Amino acid sequence: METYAVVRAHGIKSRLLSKQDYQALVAGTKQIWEFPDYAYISEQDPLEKKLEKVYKVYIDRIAPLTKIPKVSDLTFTFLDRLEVENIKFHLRFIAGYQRPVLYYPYGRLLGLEKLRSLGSEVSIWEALSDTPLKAPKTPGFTTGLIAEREALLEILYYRYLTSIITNLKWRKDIIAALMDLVSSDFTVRYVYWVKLLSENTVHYLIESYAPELKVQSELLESLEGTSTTEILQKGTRMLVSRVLKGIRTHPLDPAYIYILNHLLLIEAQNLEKILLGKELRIPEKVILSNLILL
Amino acid sequence: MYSELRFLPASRGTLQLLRRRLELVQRGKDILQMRRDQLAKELLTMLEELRKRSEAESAFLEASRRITALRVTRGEHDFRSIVSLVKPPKVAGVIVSYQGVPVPQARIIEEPDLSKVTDPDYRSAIEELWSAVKSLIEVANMEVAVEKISEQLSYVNRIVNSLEKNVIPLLQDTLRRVEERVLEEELEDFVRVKLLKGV
Repeated sequence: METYAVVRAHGIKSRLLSKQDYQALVAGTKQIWEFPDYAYISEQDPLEKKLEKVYKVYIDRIAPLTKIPKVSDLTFTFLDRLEVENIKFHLRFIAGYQRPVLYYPYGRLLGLEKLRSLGSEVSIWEALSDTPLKAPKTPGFTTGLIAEREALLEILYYRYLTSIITNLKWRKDIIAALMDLVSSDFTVRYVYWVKLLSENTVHYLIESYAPELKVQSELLESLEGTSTTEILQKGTRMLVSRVLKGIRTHPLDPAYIYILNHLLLIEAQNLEKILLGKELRIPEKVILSNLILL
Repeated sequence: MYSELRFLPASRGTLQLLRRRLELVQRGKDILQMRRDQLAKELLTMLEELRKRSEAESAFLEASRRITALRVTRGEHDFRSIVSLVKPPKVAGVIVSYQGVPVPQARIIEEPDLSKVTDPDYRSAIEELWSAVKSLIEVANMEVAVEKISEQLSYVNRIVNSLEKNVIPLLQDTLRRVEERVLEEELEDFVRVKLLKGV
């Protein structure tokens, strides 16, 4: 079954856009709807609709893998990441000044409709306590900052992801490879949250809710001392280089599915940047410099 | 009003009335000239301030560029949700008097509240944009003031010109004409009295 999933993953990967495709999109010589997977995006769609359709493609590509029993749980956790982001957006919406926010077109843990109906932070934590994220009903926060709530959400997500991975009945080296990739991903987020909050606050959250999560010290050093945007950009580029290395070392084992998820997500994010850049009439050079090209 | 001057009776009373009117008009003209000078002086000071416009515009463009770059880098989903954490500023329109000229002005009642935005990159970009917007509001206020004061200045100028070129010469002519007529009549009266005495 895992091999079947990996073969499917290779099939999905073959549909990814190439560097030339991105360049053609940015230059305007090709339009997004000319690519078969994105054909149902219309020129008349507003930006919000276009972005929704782009992320729908990402979800639809992962969806077939969620139906394969042995990789189902893992692939669902990839999609759940979008829902965690949605919960963060909704927390900001509640704590902020009720201006419209954009959500990803996905919801499984709570569902988009239910999430939108939650009108207070307390109700969000209570609803999340019944989900695989196993959020505390009344989390103990040390600051009143919304960022601390977001950091806890991400920590809970990584705890959920690692617990899914450790429960997989796969070879030890595959589990180790997956854990390594997850911990690199988590390290980037950790550096970001430390920059926003403080080391003590983030440590307190990890110690209290997910002591099993570990950060990679060699990554930490290379990310420290930069701005938050640089941390995220540099972190994503480092993760991509690890993922590309993973393609070579794990071409036929289930770790490839994790790698594929990264590549698919990067494509969606790249397209988001291109569509947004075009809408805002940003110079081609600037758009290209923001893309993660494989 | 001035056509009636032609039909005024030539008398000492008319003469006095015309002299008083001429004096009033001349005093009015002097006051309006002073006001014109005052407005022109105010306008010159404001024009100095207006030179800041290009500075404010380039600061705004730079801040917009920075925030647009951040928007693309961080993605629309993240950007919109972060922006929803910012309490928008409150700006109200008030009428302010510049040298007695009522000018509509935009006044910042409340600054935007960024306390919920913890990401330093977003925060500094939004702060930079707000400071650029503030400078633009100041420049816009100044431009409206200049426009209104210029309108007032040209109105005052028109009146001063009209007084100088039309009203005062007309009054002076009429005064001269009435003076001559009064003198003539006085002379006639004098001659008539002399003749009567001689008889």
